[in-house]
Amino acid sequence: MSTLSSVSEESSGPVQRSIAARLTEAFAPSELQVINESYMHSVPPGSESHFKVVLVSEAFEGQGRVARQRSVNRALAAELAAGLHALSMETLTPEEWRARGGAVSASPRCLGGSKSDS
Amino acid sequence: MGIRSRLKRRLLTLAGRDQERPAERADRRATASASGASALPITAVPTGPPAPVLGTEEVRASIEEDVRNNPVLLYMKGSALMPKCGFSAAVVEILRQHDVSFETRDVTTNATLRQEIKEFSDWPTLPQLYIGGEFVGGCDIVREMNENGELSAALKQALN
Repeated sequence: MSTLSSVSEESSGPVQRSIAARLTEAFAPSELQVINESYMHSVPPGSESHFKVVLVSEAFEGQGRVARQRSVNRALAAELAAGLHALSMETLTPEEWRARGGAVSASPRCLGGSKSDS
Repeated sequence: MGIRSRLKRRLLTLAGRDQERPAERADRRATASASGASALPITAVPTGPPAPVLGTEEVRASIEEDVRNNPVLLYMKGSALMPKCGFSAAVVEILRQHDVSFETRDVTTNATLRQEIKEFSDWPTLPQLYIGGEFVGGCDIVREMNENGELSAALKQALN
């Protein structure tokens, strides 16, 4: 499993990078994880067919679940048409993300040796 | 046959309940007649033209009617007994936990339905759940609603 955005891009594939780029552009997310879950499905090793995205953005304020997922699907229409087979997603506002403790669990990189400190 | 009953019949065909092709049906009837199992003389066996391939408009109309007539309707890959996809299986499992009766439609047996349901729902992936004629969402949303109690409330409201 490889995630993208908070983690290095070295192990990510082209579809994974493209998903991350489109979502970054469309939602200016405060948190973005693009997880390749293809290995969990019956596809060849190294496939980029099944993804999960965790997307935290102020753009979701005031929107219901269906509207949020539709806007993500729209941003990734090209990828979906080109063979992205499954897209699981968690779409949250920053407030919802904090409320469920996401900010805390997603910040191990802040526990020490932060690049910005050096 | 009226437009409604014709639609209904096509809907059943769409849903994969009646996968027998007209030609096979005619063959069987002919065999039955020949062996004397039918009172119809063999010359009276209705052959007729093959059923027309459903157009986009008809499929869309059949989806509308299907959604309206079934309080809990799941478009999925495979059947409730034999799901062909983990996400579809997960939603079936959740619905089962609620002990409600629900209908499923297998999009893998019909390419037109598979395409049209995505357009109809404005949703590019399967499964897709409808409750009380309203689009609810896919696996992620159903899971979340199951965990926070919203699914239970929606099912109760639709089935009362």
